[in-house]
Amino acid sequence: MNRYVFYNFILVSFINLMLYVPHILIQYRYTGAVSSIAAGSVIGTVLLYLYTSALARYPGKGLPEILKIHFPGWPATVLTLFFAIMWWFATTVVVVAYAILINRFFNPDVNTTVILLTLVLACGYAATRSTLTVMFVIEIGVIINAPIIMFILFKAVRSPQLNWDAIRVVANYITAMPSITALAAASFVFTGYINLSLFNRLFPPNFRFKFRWVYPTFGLAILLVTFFVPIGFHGTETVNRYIYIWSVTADSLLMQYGFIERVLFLFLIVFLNLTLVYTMSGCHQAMEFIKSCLPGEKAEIDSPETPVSNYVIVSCFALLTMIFQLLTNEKLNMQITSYWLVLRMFIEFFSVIGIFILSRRRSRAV
Amino acid sequence: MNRLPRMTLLLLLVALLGGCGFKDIDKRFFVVALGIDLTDNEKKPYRITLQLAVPSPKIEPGASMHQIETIDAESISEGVRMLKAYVDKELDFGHCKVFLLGEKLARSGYEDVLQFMSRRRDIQSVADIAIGRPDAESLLKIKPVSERYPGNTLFLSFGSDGTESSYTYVESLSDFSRRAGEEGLDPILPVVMKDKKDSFIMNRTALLNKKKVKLILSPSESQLFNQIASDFVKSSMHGNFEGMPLVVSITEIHSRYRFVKLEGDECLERSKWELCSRKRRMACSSRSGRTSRSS
Repeated sequence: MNRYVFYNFILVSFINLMLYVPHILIQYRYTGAVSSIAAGSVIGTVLLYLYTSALARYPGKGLPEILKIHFPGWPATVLTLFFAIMWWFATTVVVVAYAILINRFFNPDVNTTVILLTLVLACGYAATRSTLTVMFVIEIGVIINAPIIMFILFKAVRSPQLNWDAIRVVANYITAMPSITALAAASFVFTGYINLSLFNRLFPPNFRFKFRWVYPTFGLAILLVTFFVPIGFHGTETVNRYIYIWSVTADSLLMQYGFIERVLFLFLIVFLNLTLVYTMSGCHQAMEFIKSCLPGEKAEIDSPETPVSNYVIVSCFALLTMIFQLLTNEKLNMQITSYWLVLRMFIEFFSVIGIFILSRRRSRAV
Repeated sequence: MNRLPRMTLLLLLVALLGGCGFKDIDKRFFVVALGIDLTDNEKKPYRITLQLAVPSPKIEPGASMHQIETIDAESISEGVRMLKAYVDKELDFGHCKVFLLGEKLARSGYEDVLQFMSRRRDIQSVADIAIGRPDAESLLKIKPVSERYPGNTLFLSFGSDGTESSYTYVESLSDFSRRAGEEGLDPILPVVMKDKKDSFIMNRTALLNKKKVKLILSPSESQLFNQIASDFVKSSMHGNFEGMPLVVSITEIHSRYRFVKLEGDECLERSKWELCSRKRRMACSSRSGRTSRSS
């Protein structure tokens, strides 16, 4: 069962490319990105350990149920609704960014709204399935796509084009103090554990979190590659010219004997899959959070019939995502994302500490 | 029965798809090489030359056909737009692997050209880029006798698929744009020349600063540069060894450099260079030398 934890972690750490994390970090490359990576991984690791040890005390319970145990009626509802909005917003940012990316790199003649509608419909339908089904879809998505991403990352790291001098120059700016935005961006890579807020429902009572050291190691490796490889490819100065930095980096690679010579297309297709899976998982979690606030609703992980409320809630999400896309543009979307990353870091910090304290208090009372 | 209306709805959704914006392959002109020159006309400073592949059923040496389109324009992207009115099919840069800059253009400033190339989405960052001497247009008009696919000769000369010469420096677009922006690195481009017959010579290398060409190296200097800067192994070296003329095939090259600070602002680059040859392993240690050169 520990692999389900790992899938969630791996999915979120890969999806950081869609949330402009590399671009944000690279903007701060002389002013604290490197130290933010160090500090962010420490924060991420500590939170991961705290949250998993807290959840170990609530086997088979999701975040809404835990809140209901400790708080009376309305504060629990308000908190759960708030978390639902945070989750929904993450998926919105990712899916809107991908719709724009398709417009930029696949076909500039296509209308972004139509692409987004197609993506949202597919993800929305998948999100209405039961929690267990969603988890299986995540598993399949990660198993199919992660090896290809690892291949691209490996190819990038081993490329003779990679200029280690540029990487060394930037790494020497480690003494610059971390900045809050860069810290938020760096710690996002480690935030996959927060998806257990819902998926903890799937775990049986005798479940134990094992191999927890794997997560920080893996997260740090991904973060270092995400940040340093584009710098090695484009140099310390030119690297800041690109927003979709990893798409451009993938385009600088050549698969001479692959079916397609340009790595860019392989990269884009793999990230399309990951974006769809991430959006589905995020939408589903937000939906379940809202459902848990409805009166008389019982948490089910694999209901034989899909409740009507699923369709209603997810349709609302889809509609809101479309409205968000119509109201914002690319630049605004990026700015909002960086604010959201900071907000997310604080929310996560306080909620994880809060849940940890609650879990200890409960054990003392019992 | 519940399934039928659902399936119908799904099928109806298909009607919403407006067909893809992609054009069929037989409605496209694939640009295989792009040449940019500087004209004397101040109002239309750029001369754009496109080498368009003409598909042919025969694949044999010399059967490759291409069409050349040339236009003078105010800017490169405008020129490409205007050229669309000259041809019947959609221009596609997806297979454009070679870019030639005319020598005159490279000597007066390459910034605008680099901007165009790195911003267009269908231009690959892995494309090769070179300086054409005396100009790009005349080079693209050459029809090499042995060419099997349109534009293949130039493309094969770069990279390691075809010939690998120690005299040819290979530069990709992404490396060129990195060097143009990076502090402490400057762009380097190979120079392509026309042979008396229908073929190309590329044994010179141009050193550029952030704006234009500063120096063009001779063939032997180009080889030395390739050996030192990119450890290019497949090369040979000749000289006299105890009064005997000797040609050594090199199997290994290692170069190392470090900067030594002298008094004041002056810097000295001290480099160590080690060559190995399979046949004369003894010679390898004596070949290591120390050169110092101020930079």
